[in-house]
Amino acid sequence: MDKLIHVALSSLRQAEISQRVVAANLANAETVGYRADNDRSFTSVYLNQAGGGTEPRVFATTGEQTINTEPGAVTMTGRDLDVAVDGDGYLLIQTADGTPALSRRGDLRVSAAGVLENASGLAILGDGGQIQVPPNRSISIGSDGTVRVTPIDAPEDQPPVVVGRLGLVATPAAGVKRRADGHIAAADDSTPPFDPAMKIVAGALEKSNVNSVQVLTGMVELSRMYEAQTKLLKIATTLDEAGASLMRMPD
Amino acid sequence: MYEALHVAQTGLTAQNHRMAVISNNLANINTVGFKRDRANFDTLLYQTLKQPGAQTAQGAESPTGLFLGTGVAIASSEKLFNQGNVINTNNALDMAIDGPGFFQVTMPDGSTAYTRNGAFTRNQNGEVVTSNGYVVNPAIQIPADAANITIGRDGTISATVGGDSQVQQLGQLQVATFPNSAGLQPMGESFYRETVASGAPLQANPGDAGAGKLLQGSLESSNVNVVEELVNMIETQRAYELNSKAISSIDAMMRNLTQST
Repeated sequence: MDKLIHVALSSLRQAEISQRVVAANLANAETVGYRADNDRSFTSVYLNQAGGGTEPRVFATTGEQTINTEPGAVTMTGRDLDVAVDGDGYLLIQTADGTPALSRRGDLRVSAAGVLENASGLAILGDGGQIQVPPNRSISIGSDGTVRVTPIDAPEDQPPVVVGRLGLVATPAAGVKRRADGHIAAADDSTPPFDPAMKIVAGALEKSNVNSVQVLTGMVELSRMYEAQTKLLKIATTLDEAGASLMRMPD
Repeated sequence: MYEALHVAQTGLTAQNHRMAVISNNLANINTVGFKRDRANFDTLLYQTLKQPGAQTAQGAESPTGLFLGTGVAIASSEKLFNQGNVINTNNALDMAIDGPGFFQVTMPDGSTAYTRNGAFTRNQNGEVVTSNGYVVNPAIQIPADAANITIGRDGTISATVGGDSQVQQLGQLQVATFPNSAGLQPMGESFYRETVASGAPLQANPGDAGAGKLLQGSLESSNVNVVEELVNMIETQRAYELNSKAISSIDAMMRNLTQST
């Protein structure tokens, strides 16, 4: 039997993986600060017959993960603790296993223990580690990421006190990648240094950067590609049947 | 292929949940003292398809690997406590708090609940009660023959009693503030309950630093912004449509596979 059917199969598999990435991106179309995964991470494997035979095969296989780093749309919410990173950078967060990671998620809140965290419950790292927020009457975040609070027991005329500064970092020179736990990190696993030039917009949130038009056309394209490959399966079957009938002993 | 279907389904579930939050906000648009909710989403776990650092050839390693997302989940729904509009009603026992405080109410089971709804009345004993009949804490008795009830910005309640021209002070209302009011647990009927996340309440007289002023003859309307909710609703609907489109597209691919080969 011809090996054509295996080439078609390798492509079908990749289409299935891509369709999963598309579905995951669409599911997160409204997740604050989400960065879409690129859904075309194919690469090809060229298999040549030993001795330069005449049957080269090019299989599709899984390539490397890349993240779409385009900025998402920013919406104004007016909430004190909503921040959007302005420009090409990230907030430094502490993940569940204690390691730092990069995030564009800016829907911040104060945890029961008084730690500034995002809505996923991950602490924001500041210039001095986690940012402790004391019980307060009001809290504000400046455009340079400085967190100021008016403590609850402060007299009326006391100016707000600085409790920390959001860990803002510029996009690492090596680029960014997706980690196994889904967080974004520098491609070389380093922790980027704080960048005093990075700014935030307070009272605003950055939505996910999933481009629905692009995703929809991509989805249609994948569907059609899948159909073409199933057609190839059909052709391979017909060819094989034709070959088998030639070989059949006459009755 | 089946996984992709389930991933798209998590998107539908999440958008459905968000729509419920938006509908609840819109349903309570005229509820006095209502604070709107916001649904927060979070990505689900990632599945490792190709480990970074895996050898792709002698001396070459996969630099980033490949991880597939498994969808989205609701992380939390959060109350947004920004101030609602203050509406003038000229009703003597209607009160609004201009600031972060909460009225304290003794529930029938003896526990204390907190509310921003200041539409108070008197019960048969002359006590100040909420519209559900729960006694406002600290309890204040207003005699049946009291007239010209005045509530100061600092929470003092005074009135003229029994035709006496002299104004008498009847009591002092207090409000509670919380270190983290976003951590309060909503319990229906516009009441909130203290939680570990909210921290212990701090009693203060209205007008004290950080407690907020009391406005007599006014009510705080809900802080729901119709335009914002409608925009959110459209956004949610479109996201829902996209996810159902993904489901139908994946279904078409499977149909094609099973029927045309």
